Amino acid sequence: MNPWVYLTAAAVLWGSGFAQSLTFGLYGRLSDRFTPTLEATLPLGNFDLGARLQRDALGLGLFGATEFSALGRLTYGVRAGLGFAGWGVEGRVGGTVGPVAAGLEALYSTTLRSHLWVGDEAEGGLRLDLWGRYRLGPRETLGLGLGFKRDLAGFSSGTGELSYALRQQQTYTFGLGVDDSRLYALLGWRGELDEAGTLLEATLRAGQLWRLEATLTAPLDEGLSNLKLRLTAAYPWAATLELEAYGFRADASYDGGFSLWLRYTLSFGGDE
Amino acid sequence: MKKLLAVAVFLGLAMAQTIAEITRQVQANLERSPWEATLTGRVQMPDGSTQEAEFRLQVIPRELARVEFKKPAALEGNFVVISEKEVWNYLFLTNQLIIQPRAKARVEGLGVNLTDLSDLEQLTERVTLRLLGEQNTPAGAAWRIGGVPKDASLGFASMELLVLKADPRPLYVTLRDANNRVLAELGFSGFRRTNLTPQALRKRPADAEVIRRN
Repeated sequence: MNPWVYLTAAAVLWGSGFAQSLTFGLYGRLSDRFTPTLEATLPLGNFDLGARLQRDALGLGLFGATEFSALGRLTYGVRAGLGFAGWGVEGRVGGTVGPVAAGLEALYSTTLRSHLWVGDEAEGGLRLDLWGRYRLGPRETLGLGLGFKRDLAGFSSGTGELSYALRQQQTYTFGLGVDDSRLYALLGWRGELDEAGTLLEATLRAGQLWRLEATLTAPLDEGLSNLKLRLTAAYPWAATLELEAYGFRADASYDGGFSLWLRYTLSFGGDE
Repeated sequence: MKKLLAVAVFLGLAMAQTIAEITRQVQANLERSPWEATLTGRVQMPDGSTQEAEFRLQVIPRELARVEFKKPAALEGNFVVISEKEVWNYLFLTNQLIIQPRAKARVEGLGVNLTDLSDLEQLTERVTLRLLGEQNTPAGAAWRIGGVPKDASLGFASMELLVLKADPRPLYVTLRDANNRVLAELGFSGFRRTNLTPQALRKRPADAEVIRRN
């Protein structure tokens, strides 16, 4: 994309005063490609319109939610992406009401989704994901995740994961899963580390596949600002490191090649 | 006949003045300092079932109120924080904090806007209150107050409130629908004045996903 198109789009969205948030980004993948990215959200009646722009693709989405106060909420949305490499569509619906939370997500693309948006997975074709959470009691939650995908070459695979979380002062999670016939066990821990509310969540999936995810979130002030540090490491070798604070976000990742994505978000949503 | 009418008008005015005076006393008493209390009883859920309820209410007068849900079990861990401008609604199961402008947010949800009970003056703007009499309770003598909403949007058809005379504050509230079925019966217990800070009332999991809905 011509940088002038990118800058003009940003200026129009900003200047129009309609944008709720604008995120400017620069993405680079070593010896591969480099692109500016622009994300914008705009209110459209009871919905939010989300736009994504990168060098060779454009995405538009429409998202809505119905709130039931403390009882729960329902969210729904669709998105379509079009680029030189192909096109893709996705739809999602999810929500929580009382003791149940569930979501369904369906994606289809004719190219790798990372070609339509750099932040998406490097896979194409069809993907269906279903997740659910059910409260067995005030402090016990059962989780279920099911996934199915058929890639661009026509190969199909499935995933399934069942977990049990017990919340005391800290939350302990135990589970079992299968990912394309590879079995693994899941162990998780989540808890506050200090009086200020610094929170650590760590999840290890171990067995015929290995994946560690750890997220540290520390409040930066009395408002809603946080410092967030997220690390994932997996075998076969892949790793990501994410750092987020004051609207700034950096994502570094390795999955056979190195990439870096720097973003800055301006919010116009009327802070506290 | 004229005398009788005059007496009726006088009595009516006197009762009206009394309810205005009680409201003023409760308001002044609850605004004296931050306080907290537990509300226990039964509420009717949207599916029509009645469930045991326990809410923890913390109030910094004219600034912030926090309602934590302990029962029903399906809502345990959820909380609502209400400030002058915003309503924060935390959903435990999805670890989301939804922030809405106060004018737009529906705080009722359970058929009762719990924070109205901490702001009786605000309640009188939406409900016509009248003094029904007095009643003895384990906590002491109490005023029995009846109320009818001024519009249907509050979700109940009538309410009854017991207000402690010695320390003017609500003791018990009952909400009924148009068929006189009980929507909520909640008793206040463990009322105590305490040092509450805005930070404590806004406490939330740091990693909650913050969603602004304007």
